[in-house]
Amino acid sequence: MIPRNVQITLVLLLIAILGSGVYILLLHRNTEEGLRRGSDQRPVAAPVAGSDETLKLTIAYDEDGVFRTRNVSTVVPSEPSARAKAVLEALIGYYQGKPSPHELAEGSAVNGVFMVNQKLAVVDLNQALAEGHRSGVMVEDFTVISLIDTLASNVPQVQQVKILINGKERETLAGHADIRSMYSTAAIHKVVAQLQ
Amino acid sequence: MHGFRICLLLIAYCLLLFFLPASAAEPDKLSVYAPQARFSIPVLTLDGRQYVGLLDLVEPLGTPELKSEGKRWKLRVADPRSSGKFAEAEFEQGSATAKVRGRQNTLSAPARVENHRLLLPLHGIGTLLIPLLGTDVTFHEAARRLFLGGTASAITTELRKGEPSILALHFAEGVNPNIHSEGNALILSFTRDPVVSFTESQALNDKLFSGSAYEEKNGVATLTINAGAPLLAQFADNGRTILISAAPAPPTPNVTASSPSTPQTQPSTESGVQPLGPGEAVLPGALPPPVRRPATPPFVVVIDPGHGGSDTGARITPNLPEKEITLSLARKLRQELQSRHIAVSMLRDSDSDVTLEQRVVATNLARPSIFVSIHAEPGDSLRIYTPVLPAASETSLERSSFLPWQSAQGAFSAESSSLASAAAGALDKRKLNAQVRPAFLQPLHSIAAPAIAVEVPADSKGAKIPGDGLAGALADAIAARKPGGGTQ
Repeated sequence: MIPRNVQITLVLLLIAILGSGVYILLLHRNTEEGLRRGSDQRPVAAPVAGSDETLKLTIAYDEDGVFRTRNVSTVVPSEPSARAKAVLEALIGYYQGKPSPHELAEGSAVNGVFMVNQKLAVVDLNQALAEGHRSGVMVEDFTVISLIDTLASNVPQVQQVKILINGKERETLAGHADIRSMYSTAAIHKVVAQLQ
Repeated sequence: MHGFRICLLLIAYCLLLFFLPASAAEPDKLSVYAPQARFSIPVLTLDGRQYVGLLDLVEPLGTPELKSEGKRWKLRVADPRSSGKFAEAEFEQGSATAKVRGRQNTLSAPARVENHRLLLPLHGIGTLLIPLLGTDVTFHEAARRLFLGGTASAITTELRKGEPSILALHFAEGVNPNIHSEGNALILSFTRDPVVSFTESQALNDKLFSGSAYEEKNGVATLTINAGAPLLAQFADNGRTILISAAPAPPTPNVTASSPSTPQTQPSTESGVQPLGPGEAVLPGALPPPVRRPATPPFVVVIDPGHGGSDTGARITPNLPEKEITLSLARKLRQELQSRHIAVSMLRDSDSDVTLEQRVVATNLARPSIFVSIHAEPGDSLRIYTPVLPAASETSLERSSFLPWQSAQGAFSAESSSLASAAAGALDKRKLNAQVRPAFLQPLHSIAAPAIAVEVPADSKGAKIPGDGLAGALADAIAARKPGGGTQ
């Protein structure tokens, strides 16, 4: 007959052995998962090939109703379409900082910029930028002017700009500013000069 | 032989072109006069009965909802008698019975559906509208004129005897008839004014005026003043009075021929076919035109109340869309301009959808002297915008040539800028500070006239700028551009 105290000790030991086994099993799985993740060499984003450059951004200041030039440093690709997209992303990024002189809707982004004949840039903005844009003559105009003038300042070969929203033509940005027309960068620059 | 057939075909085609416009009768319409809106809707004749679209009829009166469930149609309109409540009506395609506010009503003919539109018989439509809208209804069925909410007002005539006599027509509110002359008769056609007359004809027994005749037909009331000499109409008391008198004697043929640049005291008779506002103060009878003088184009201002219908514009507050403020300000501006005797055309006078292209077409067809677009935004600044073209051209456009659709405004840029400065100056005189700015704004690019846009700051109470002051200042700036000084 096994004494009662020995029985209790044996049960406790058995529970400890089983618990340790389960713990070791979980530890093993976690280690395997970590190793698998660490060894995944697939690329998740295209590498930015280019040099660090200072970009000239035409920034709209709603409060004062003027444009001011601001310089930012960023890595810019040399290929014209990618460069144009990077320039506009830098501008939108500037507006999305806090505090912003000209707020854009959350999630605003550039889907892509397509260069045609090196002179015409077709800028495709995403739905969030247009749908969430504040409605008003000046605020809408400021977005359009700021985008085009910034593009023209940093991709000088661009002479004309056409804006699309999610790949489609649209009459106005949010009810006022004309985005159906093809913009001449010279016309835009003239207006910026008036409002500086 | 072949050539002969071609000739016959050509002659037949020419005859067709010649007779087609003459035989095209004016379509049947119903004119509706309500306190909140005045409008005309088409009347369809189907199987010998006249029908109107239910939504056409009630849409300008509020914001109705009309839903179809198979053959059943349910209408829901805001109850004018108690705010926040709704009146409901049910109709069934092919049935002459309708349920209005839970009660059975009998229609004069079964309701029909054509092109997904619910049509109701015109005959007896008033008996349906009384319980639905809860308002007084007076229906001149033969003339197709429907007066809601006691809008009908009688014309009163006053003959001021003298040498020569003057006939004064008095109205309860400012009117805007189309006036033209035929021989010695002056004909006033009221389409948008709810005027009525209790007498069909009236003898005036005067040396100049022989009598007047009143007629209502196809949604239009017509008053004909017969006289023994050509007549002249002048508006007074903000369009509430029209003074009719003898037209001055025409200039002699020699004088007219030798000095074509002589300022005209009267426009040519052709101006009678133009839609004229109270500002078109002088309208002549038929004068013998020995030499055709160049007609002075009428001074017309087109007002564009921004947005409308499904396009709400900016949300000033969750419950206050920009479209409501723009329409209210546009109406004030129209009133101010009409009080200065300037003819006005509005691109919308109700909460209706008007596309940018439709706005441009309507404006350019009206050949306006000035175009004003009205906008509002939540903010603090009053701004006047001058249009800038997206594709700036170094060479300026000539007005005499064809203007490109996208950049027609290019021929008027200098005048638009000057108008904006004048408007800012007029606002400044009333102690209202406005910024003048360039803008790439639609539909101004395609407007073939001096054009500006006004953006008014607004909050939950509406426009922050007093509407009367703003409209008054804009009207002052516009009136100053009217040939001859504007105000009379």
